[in-house]
Amino acid sequence: MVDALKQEGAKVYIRSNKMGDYLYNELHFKDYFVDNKNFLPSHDESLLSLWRVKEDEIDLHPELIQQYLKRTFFSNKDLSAVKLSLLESYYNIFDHAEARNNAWSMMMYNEECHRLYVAVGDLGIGIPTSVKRVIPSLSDEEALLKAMEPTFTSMSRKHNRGLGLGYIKDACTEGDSLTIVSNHAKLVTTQDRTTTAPMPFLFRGTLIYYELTLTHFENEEIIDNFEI
Amino acid sequence: MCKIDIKALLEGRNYPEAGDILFGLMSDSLKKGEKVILNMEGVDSLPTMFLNTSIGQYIKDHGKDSLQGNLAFEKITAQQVVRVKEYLSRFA
Repeated sequence: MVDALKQEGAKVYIRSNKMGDYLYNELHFKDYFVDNKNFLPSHDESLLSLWRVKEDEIDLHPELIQQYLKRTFFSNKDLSAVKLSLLESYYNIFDHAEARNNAWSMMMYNEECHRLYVAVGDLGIGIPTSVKRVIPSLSDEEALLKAMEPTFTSMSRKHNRGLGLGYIKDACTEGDSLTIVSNHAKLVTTQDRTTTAPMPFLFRGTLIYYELTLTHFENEEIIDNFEI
Repeated sequence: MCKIDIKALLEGRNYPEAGDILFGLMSDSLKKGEKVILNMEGVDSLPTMFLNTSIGQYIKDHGKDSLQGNLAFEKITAQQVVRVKEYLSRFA
């Protein structure tokens, strides 16, 4: 939101209180929005920093996150689902969102419950708007459900064939959830069920938020040969 | 037989570009009747934008059965095997 306002030429002030100080000091808002940084390392090992999602770094950030988690917490686990879910989220932004480079991600890792919390947000057109270019008759809630179907794609680019959001959901294990808020709708999906609800306001953009319990992931195992 | 090093293929390329090149290499070899073996050593992710432009595109052009017995992976992680199987299952 700050980035969008800045792009429109507005001046943004952050009040000095508990939240304001956290945004300014812990999340380094000044460095991002005054000095135009894309990423700054955090002093807190559990906070994996705010990252401005840029198309030329789209493959780099997921790789760095995976390496960091393996190095710091889980050297034996196959964490490829973490990297995969981030890749799919980021490519979705540049394939469909029309976000004018205003896309961000943030992650936190809770060492006590071994859970990674991921938020990826953009101020683009929103998933329902993109889906309704293909099927205009859908409501926003129906459009979010449609976007989750494995074979549905708005085919914005040649390499789209659906499946992307499904890979993010597949990374979630027991007790995890994926939440999508976009335009006038919200979708929450777990391993057992998927529900939607209307949003009381219009959100011009998309927020994808999910939790991954990393101790549920398998240990890494290499197979010498696998044939189709 | 044609062996393709996927890690080398991905070097310096984004996933859709690498997938396009793999599609080309696969198509050439399979057309000649050669089996294609993908060396996955050092590769930890097979995102959809790579699969869609390579294996997915090949299946779209030639059908899934055309790959039976003609495509194999070596040094692949167990999780990637699960994903490849799931990916293929989404094609009729």
